[in-house]
Amino acid sequence: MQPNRRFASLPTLWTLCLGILLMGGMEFALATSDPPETGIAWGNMTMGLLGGLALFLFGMEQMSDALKAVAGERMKDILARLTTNRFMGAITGAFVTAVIQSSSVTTVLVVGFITAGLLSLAQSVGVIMGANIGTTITAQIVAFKVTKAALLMIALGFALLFMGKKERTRQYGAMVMGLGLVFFGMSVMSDAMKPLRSYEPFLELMTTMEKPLVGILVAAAFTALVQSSSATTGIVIVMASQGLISLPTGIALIFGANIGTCVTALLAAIGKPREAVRAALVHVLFNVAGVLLWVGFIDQLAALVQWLSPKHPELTGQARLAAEVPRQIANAHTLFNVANTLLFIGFTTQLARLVEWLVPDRPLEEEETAIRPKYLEEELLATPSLALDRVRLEVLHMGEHIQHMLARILPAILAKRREELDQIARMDDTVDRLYTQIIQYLGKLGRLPLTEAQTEEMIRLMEAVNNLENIGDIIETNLVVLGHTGIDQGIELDEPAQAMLRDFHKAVDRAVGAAIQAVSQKNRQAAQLVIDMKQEIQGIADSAALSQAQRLVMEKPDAIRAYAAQVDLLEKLKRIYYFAKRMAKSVQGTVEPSA
Amino acid sequence: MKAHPILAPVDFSPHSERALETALRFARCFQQPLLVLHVIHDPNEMPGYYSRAFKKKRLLHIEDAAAEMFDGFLQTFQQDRKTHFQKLRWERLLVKGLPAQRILEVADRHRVSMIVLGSRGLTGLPHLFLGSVAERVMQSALVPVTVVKAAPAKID
Repeated sequence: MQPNRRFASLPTLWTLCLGILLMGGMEFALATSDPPETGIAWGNMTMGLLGGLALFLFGMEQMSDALKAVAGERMKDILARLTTNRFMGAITGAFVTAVIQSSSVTTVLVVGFITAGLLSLAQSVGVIMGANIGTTITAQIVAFKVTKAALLMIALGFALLFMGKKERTRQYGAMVMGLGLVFFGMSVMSDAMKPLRSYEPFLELMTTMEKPLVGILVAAAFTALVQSSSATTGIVIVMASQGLISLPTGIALIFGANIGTCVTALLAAIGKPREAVRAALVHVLFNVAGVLLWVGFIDQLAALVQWLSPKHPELTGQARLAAEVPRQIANAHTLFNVANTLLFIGFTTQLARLVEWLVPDRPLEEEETAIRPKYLEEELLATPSLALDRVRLEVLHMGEHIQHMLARILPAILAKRREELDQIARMDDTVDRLYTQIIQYLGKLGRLPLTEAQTEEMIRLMEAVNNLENIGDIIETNLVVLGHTGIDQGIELDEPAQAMLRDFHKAVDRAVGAAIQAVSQKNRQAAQLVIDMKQEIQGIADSAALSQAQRLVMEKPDAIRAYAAQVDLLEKLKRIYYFAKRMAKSVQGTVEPSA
Repeated sequence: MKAHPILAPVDFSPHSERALETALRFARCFQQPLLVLHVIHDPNEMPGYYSRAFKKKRLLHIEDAAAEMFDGFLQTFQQDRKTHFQKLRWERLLVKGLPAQRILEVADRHRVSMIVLGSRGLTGLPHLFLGSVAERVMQSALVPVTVVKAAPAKID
């Protein structure tokens, strides 16, 4: 199988750069301060170290890819479903991480799930804690000295990979070969490091790492750079197996690796929703807090794992260190992470609260506070008859909004309330949004095979929402504007005029209500009612115009302007009735309902 | 007449049901619309709150699960009080984010006249560490806040 080249090459490249810089620096230091009398073949050693590290990382990558291919889907499923309590979350996180051999991959997965809205921050906290435990399996595995078996594993894996007929067999082959490459890379690095055992400047450098902070920082930086805590752990264990570092140094370096590994998840969370950023931050806080908690107790931890781990009293000096320390480091790593998880798992709520406080929500978008369609469901599109029913309900929903606007607009105009006029204008945003959604939904529906009656129904509903939208626009633009100009010009309508407008408004309101009912319930009686109201509406309008014209003669100040305003209002309300009538007519035009 | 809705944030718990009952009563008294809000936020102390309600094999979007729970909650609530919902203007609103902050933002955006919400009434240590949504809403809200703890007497 093809490993993911892009991902594999990036950390390897970084490592190369870093290695060359490091080695170059060392060589330079050597050339200036200490003539090459030690007889170390620097070129060979550099090649061995870099080549070994490359093999190690490549092996990790290949193994991880194969594991993801074999178990990835199931792992995702497990992650999303078994995280409904924090303990299960931690166990799941540990298991998934142990299987895919990378805590970074687990946290990146979690961040992805949160971004997709499948997992919550609360669910992710346990998983992230567990991931730290899962990653210690890698250290435990690489602490085995299986140098000879490494080549065998490579051969076996290669055979499976190239002779396997089934995809699955080949993946297992890639997995075994990857693991073999990890071990082989370590043995190559190990061999390359041998000369360093007697090289004083390097040993001195290693003793500076015994200062916990230095060790932690170096390991964190290196881990962040290669984006793999396993690489750091691997190198630490290789150095330990050469007797180059003591247990406390190893522990400090492992602590650093724990911190450095958060960077990957943090990078993955950039630009993601706030919940995802918080999850990455939980990872950072948890790992940093764990290290801070233990940094003062490195010696105690060392003593504890020395007591716990297998001993080789028959050996002395560096040989004994080499035999004992790798396992001790691996155990310290496991112990540290398990202890931290146990310690912090009781405080997941507080941890989540803390990151919620550190990363507050963005202000609410206007869009999110809006009323959304209640009834339009994608799933129902498969059944057009049900979907059309839903649209009818949604038309009713939209109609209710229109009626609210209509009911409030005239009182607002007459009482000269600017604020309320603006509020009504804003209500049209909701209507517009519902309109768009209904039209889109109907558009999707239109692409499906429909019966003739269903197509007719669809077209009628489309007309209805268009008419409703027009009514909304008349209110939002024309009537609101009329209200504002009325206030600006200080137009006072006298009581008879107001009463007349109120009557007319009431009639139009009734018509719109009936029209909405007609469409949403396919109610032909209601439709007939709307159409029959034509006489009534026209009558009120005519008599209003007449009475106004008569009163104009009475020479009131501003009478003409008030008259014009009143006629405008009447005109717009009449237009609203016109759209209601069109809605009703579309219902009347249909074939007789079967009932 | 200006509409200043009564905001009733709910979390589907019995406490919020009681609060909604009170909000309904206020809405009818003051003849204002009722705005029922749910803020989607998986409770930190109960991870997987939404996904647990649906024991389905497939992955579920938290937002969809919340919407379904919200509708179910409102439906049962309405069924018991059909007459009280007559002639009542009301809306449901679903928003994602941190509850206290979102409640205040919605209150501001919709110019609500008051907020009515339930409180679980944590006591002792957890209360000291966590506080409650109701408490934070109460501290920062610019409109009157009613916190409901016990069941109100049945309305008329």
